[in-house]
Amino acid sequence: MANVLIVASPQIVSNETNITENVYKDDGTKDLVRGGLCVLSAGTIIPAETTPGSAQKIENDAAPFDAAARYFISLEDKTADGGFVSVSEITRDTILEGFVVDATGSSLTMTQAQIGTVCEGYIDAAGKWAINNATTKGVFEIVDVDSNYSPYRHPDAAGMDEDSGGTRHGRVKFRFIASKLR
Amino acid sequence: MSGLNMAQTASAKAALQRTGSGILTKEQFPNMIRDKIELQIDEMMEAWTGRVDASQLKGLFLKKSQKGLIHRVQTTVRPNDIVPLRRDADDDIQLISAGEGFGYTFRTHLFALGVAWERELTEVDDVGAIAQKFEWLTEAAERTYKHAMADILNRGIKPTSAPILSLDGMYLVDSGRPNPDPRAPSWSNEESDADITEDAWFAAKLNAYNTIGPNGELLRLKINKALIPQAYEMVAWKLTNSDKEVGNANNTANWAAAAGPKYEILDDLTTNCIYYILDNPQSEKNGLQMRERNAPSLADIRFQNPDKEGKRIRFAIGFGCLDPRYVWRGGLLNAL
Repeated sequence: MANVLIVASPQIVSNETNITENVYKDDGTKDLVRGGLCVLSAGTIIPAETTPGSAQKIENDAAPFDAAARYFISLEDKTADGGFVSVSEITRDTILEGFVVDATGSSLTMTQAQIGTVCEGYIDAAGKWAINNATTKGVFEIVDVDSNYSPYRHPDAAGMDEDSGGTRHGRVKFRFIASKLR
Repeated sequence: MSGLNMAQTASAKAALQRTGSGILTKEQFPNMIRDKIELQIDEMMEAWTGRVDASQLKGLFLKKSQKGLIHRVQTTVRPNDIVPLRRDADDDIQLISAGEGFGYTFRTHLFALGVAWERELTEVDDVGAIAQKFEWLTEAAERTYKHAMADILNRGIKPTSAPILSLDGMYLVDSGRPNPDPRAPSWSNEESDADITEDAWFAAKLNAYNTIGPNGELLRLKINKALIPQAYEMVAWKLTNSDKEVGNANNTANWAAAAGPKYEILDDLTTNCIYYILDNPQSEKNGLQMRERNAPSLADIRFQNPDKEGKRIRFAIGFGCLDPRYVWRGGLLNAL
């Protein structure tokens, strides 16, 4: 059974890029969500979603992920007004850590064997995003899995990393594949 | 805030928390730095409840320092021989024989965590909202130690897999354990699955008493105390505070109350199990060790950009177990 309940959006964990404000503005119509994945479009920052506010997969044949682009994370909730917005750019060096969801099955953790695979993503209706445990139309390369880099993760009984339904999700480190970044 | 509302209804708040940036920015603490806050209180209320504390667990591990990434130990076995009868004129004298025991390798692993922030955040932080960031790192280190040690004990008795194995290749508490002397039978420090009862505790005492050493010598070990999960406290308390046997109407004295082991709640023990501590865990008899190659240390992260600042904590630790028989016994507890 699918589980696309996202605990939290990914966070940059290494190779932090410049945090910019006074450079980028929103487009005046599309609101931005704190921690949300954004894309530079016509010189403005907009959500990296075909239809902001509706759940969708991040797939390599769906806009904007069907071509190379410049991606950002919005650092703030921003009601679109055409004004400046604080963002952090995702470059080829940027490593993020995010939660795993599964839009078709129930595999909410990734194993050692999945390091190096290229996976899809998922954005929920609130703008939170995560790694989708599917490789068909991948955009993100899995760099490491939590059982590897975090052997002393919080015990399951502590309830950490559980979604709103009480199910625990695995975490992975990942990056954009180079062909999707400009 | 003018009116007095005596019919308020609950409504869950949502805090801001993560932005997605790896560096702490003013967007993460907007209320702290834009408004005038009279008092900033850490959500953890450290001043009242205490910090992350792994001291109880640390007391169960023998702490050792090591210089190398690995530390190899090779044991030898002390012969368990009996002196035979002999005539002086008999030219043949029986000679004692000895050999190696099991070998073991302790490994340490490197851990590091950093925190970084932009300078403006500290400049406008009048109330010290983020002044605790060094503490966050030291606390994370302590938490890591705690989880690591708790995991070893929670998966120490009949687990499907464990983070460490002992010198003899078995789990911390296990049955059918080999002895290096081929004449010595296998041994066990594992009790049968049981409830916390007078009989179970006496059986453990007797089994400890009958434990053999690596060479087959009877060790006559004594139980010093029992470690139990919080959930079993009431059962253990009743067992140790009733001068008559618990659960029957006979006027029979309760051995467990008068002569049984004392118990202690091990806060991080979440598996349904009981550990019996025999000798002092801080003595060399304790095979269960925490090996520290580098104690946690803080250092500045130096960015090219002078307006980014950061700290990191770094340490190298490992865990392992030589012979557990002198300190560790245990068994699974039946579910309550």
